[in-house]
Amino acid sequence: MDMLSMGDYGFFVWSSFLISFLVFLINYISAQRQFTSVLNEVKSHNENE
Amino acid sequence: MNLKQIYKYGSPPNYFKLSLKAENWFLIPGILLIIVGCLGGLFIAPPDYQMGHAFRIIYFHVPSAYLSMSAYAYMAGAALVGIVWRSNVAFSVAKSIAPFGASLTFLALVTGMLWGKPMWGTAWVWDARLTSQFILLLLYLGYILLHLSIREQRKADLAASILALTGVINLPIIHYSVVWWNTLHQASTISKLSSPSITGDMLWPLLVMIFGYGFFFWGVICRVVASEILKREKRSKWAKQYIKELQ
Repeated sequence: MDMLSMGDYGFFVWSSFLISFLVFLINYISAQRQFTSVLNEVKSHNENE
Repeated sequence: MNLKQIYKYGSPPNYFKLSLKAENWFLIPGILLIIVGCLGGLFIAPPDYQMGHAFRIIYFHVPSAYLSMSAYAYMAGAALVGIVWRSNVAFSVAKSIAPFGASLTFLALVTGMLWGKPMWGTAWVWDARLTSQFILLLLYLGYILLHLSIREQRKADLAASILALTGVINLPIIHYSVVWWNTLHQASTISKLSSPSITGDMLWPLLVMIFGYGFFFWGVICRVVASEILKREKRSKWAKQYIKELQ
C-alpha cells in the first residue's frame, strides 16, 4: 500500500507513469496503423493502374 | 562501413528494408529496458531524503526531456542531409521523427508539471528552462503544420527543413538555461556521468530508462520511416513488387 500511495505523492508519480505509458502506446499503435494504411493505399493504387 | 555502403542505404528500397528489419532490434530491447527501469525506479530505488517518493517522477521526466532534445537534433540532422544531398530518404526520416519528438516534448512538460506542483507549489512558471522546452514543442508543431500546409512534397520538405535547422539554436539554450539564468528548475542531474548528483542506486534505473526510451523511440521511428518511404515511392517498381510479394 505504501508503494501505491508513494508517501502521498501517488497521484503525481502514477500519473507520470500512466501518461508516459499512454504516449508510448499511442505512438506505437499509430506507427503500425500508418504502415497498414499506406500498404492499402499502394495496393489500391496498383489495382487502379 | 565505407562510403559505398552509406550510399547504398541512401536508396529508398534499401533503407525501407533496413528499417523494417531493424524495427524489432530496437523495439524489443527498448521494451525490456523500460520494464526493468520502471521496476527499478518505482520499487527498488530508495526515496529521496528531501522529495520522498515524488522524486520517482525523474524516471519519466528526464528520459523524455533528453530524448525530446536529441530527437530534434536527429530531425535537424536528417533535414540538413536532405537539403544538401536532396535525399528523399533523409527528408522521410526528418518528417517521421517530428510527431514522436513532439509527443516526447509534451511528455517532458506534463511530467515536469506533475513534479513541479508538489515540489515548487506550482505546476508552471515562465522560467528559462520551462519556456525554452515549451518553444521546442512549438518548433515541432510548426514543422508538422508547415509540412501539412504545403501540398508539393519538395517545397514542403524544404520549408519544414529550414524551420527545423533554424530551431537548432534552441537546443543549447534549453541545455544551458539552468546555468545562464536563475531558474526555479534544478540544475542537471547527470550532465557529467563521472560526477552525477544522485547515488548509484537511484542512477542505474534512470540510465536504463534513458536507453530504453531511446531504443523504443528508434523502433517506432523505423516503422514510421518505412511507411513514409513507401508512401513517397508508391509509383516505383520496387514498391509495386513489394506489395505483390505480400499478397
